[in-house]
Amino acid sequence: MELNDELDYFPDRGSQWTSQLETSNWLEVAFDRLSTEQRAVVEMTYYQGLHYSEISEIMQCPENTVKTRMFHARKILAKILPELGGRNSI
Amino acid sequence: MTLTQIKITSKSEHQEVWDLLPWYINHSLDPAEQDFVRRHVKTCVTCRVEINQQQQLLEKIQQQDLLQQASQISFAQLKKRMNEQSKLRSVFAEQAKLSQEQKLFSHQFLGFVKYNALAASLLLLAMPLMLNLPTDDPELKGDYRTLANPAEGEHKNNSIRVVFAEHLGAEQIKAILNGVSGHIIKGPSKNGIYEVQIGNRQTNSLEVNDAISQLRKNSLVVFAEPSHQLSSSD
Repeated sequence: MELNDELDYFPDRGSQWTSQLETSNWLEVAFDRLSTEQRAVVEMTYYQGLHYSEISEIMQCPENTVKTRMFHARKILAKILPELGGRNSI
Repeated sequence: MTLTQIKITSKSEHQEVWDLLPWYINHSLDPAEQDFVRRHVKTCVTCRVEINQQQQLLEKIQQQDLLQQASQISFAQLKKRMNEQSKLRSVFAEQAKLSQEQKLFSHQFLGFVKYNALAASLLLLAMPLMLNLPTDDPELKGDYRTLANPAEGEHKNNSIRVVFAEHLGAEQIKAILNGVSGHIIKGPSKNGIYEVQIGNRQTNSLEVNDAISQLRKNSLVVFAEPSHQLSSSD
């Protein structure tokens, strides 16, 4: 099986594909700096598109705790992402 | 007093909106909250910058999500292809095994042939001696019959096929055949072949063989052979 055959399976080829791969890598690095709870809140907000009240229900914690976790997560991400994602101008 | 109150109110409002921004971006806020955030953002530059940054983060995260989905799909397809290849490989392996067995068999077969060729050549050397033996045993003569062959015996055992010289007339042929107690039962064919019966039903094969050898000695007889040995040429 040739490498070119494998590339056919990916949605985008060339520079767009490599930039997506880079984004994926630095997001992984950034997310690793978050606590499990903070990461859960971020993922449920941005991946799943859930409201904070729904997240509080899922995580069985007060709504304010969800907001606080997101607040701290944003602070950490804001600190890390400009360094890691400088090339991607976030 | 009023100014301080306004300042405090706006600070708490900013903090409240700031906390709601992620859900404003993912469009999950209820209409009242959405209006509240929208009104504040119109006048707050810090929040607009934050919205812009969070928006980019959301896009990147969703891109990564798409990427993960794509990689999952591509991995599934790769797995499928690997399975198909392993199936094909097993088929090829079976074929290779079969061909190897065939090779081994042919190897053994060649060895078998090699050693038997020697025995066969010895048998061939001994053939003339065996053929001279006055025997009618079909097993020894290598003769065999199937159900499709005409039944052995009766007149077939006594019938022979004879070809005479071209210029020979009917009377001459009759005279030659009388000399061996034979009479024509069929023929001549397009090729001038006569089917001749030697003697009667009691005539044994030894007498038939004698008749054949006598005919062969006759210069006017081109060919004389027992019919049952030529049944395939019918």
